[in-house]
Amino acid sequence: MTPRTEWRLALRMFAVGFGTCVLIALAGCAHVKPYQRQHLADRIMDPAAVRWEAASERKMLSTREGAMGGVQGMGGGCACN
Amino acid sequence: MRRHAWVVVLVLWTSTAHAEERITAGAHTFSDTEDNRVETYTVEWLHSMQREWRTTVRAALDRVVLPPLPGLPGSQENVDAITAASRPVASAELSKQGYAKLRQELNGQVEWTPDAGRMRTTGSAYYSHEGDYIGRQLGLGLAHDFREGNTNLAVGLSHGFDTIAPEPHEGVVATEHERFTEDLTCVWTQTVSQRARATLGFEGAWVHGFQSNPYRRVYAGGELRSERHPERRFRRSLFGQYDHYFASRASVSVSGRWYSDDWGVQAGTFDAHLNQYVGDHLIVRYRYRHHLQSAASFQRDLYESADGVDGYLTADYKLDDFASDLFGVKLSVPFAGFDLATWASGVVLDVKFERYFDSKSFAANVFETGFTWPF
Repeated sequence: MTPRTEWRLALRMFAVGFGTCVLIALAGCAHVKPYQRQHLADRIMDPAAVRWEAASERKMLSTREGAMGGVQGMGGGCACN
Repeated sequence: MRRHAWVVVLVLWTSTAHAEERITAGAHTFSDTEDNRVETYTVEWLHSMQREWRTTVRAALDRVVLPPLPGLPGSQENVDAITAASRPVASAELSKQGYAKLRQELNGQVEWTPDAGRMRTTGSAYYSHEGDYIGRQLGLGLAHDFREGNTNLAVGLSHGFDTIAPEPHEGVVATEHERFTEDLTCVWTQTVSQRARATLGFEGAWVHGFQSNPYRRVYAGGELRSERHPERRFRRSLFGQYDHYFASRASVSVSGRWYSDDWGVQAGTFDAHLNQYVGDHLIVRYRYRHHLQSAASFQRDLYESADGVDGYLTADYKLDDFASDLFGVKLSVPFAGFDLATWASGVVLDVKFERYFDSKSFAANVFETGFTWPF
């Protein structure tokens, strides 16, 4: 098995394992009323609190790494080669 | 008629049924072991026009400073640096001078939230300008809540159309190029319990046009040649995140991303955040991130043939195989609860430091400071 093939196999296993964990977690979902979400609305759980810094981080990482994508969504183009 | 239209727009924009206004501003610096430095100054203004409409305008200014290239002009060390450079070099003498450029960026978004907030529609426009690159993007987004907000499905589409106009560079004829990007993002957010939330998403980007670095050259077949990447690339990623709140007023967020494209690059990324309240006016966030990627199929450390691999040549470190780590800490100070004037009670100050390093002996420090001010 070549090193390149090993990389690909390891990454595919990671993807399958992570996806399986997510599906198992989602299978145990509860129905939470709006008045029960005070913890989910806390600043340390609020995705909007990090969205602002995520834009600059996305640009910085795009100049160093060959991957893209993530929870924070799409961004614009630049001469970041 | 046009003047009346502008008056109507101005009246609608300044009238506020819901007085939600917020300014967020910050400064971000990036400095690495190669003495490259990027300073970014950002300001964002969120404004509610009427009950269901909201606009956001974000402006950013990047100042990029690159050091002189190492080695004497004409030396092998100087030439080797030019082959991997990301800056224009008009001559060997000019390579001994530092290089600086400014990049301006403007991003506008309009959001419509009808149906008692269960649905959110957004339209966005992005424009950036620097000496050799103009970036443009138009986007549309739609998000809808289900099951009393326990489930949210969001879809985003964007179209990017960029113009690359290289500056004069030694040994390279500068011609203008174009690049187009179509992006699709789908995200499913699910409330798991009163203290937990999970997110699963997919992002795909179809890129066509010029995707090489016009300043970078590669040794191939014993000669220096311009870098040559394929003009089509399909990039896709699958990502997920899990957030959990603990009774000790702390939260943990773990996320993972699997990426692949048709250039042969595959990558896995893991990111973990631990947030902890210290008293009522300090939040400490610890962060660790690990990234692992494989090389592009046409990437080689040394090209024997002038044609490279299938006609493609690259000296781009982003297309090489490597692993990277990032450690960081962030301090946030919410002013709520302090004995201050009402206008300052919602202010939050942030200070962040992160250390990034990879298996190719590259390292960088990231420092960021900013504030959020709702009024």
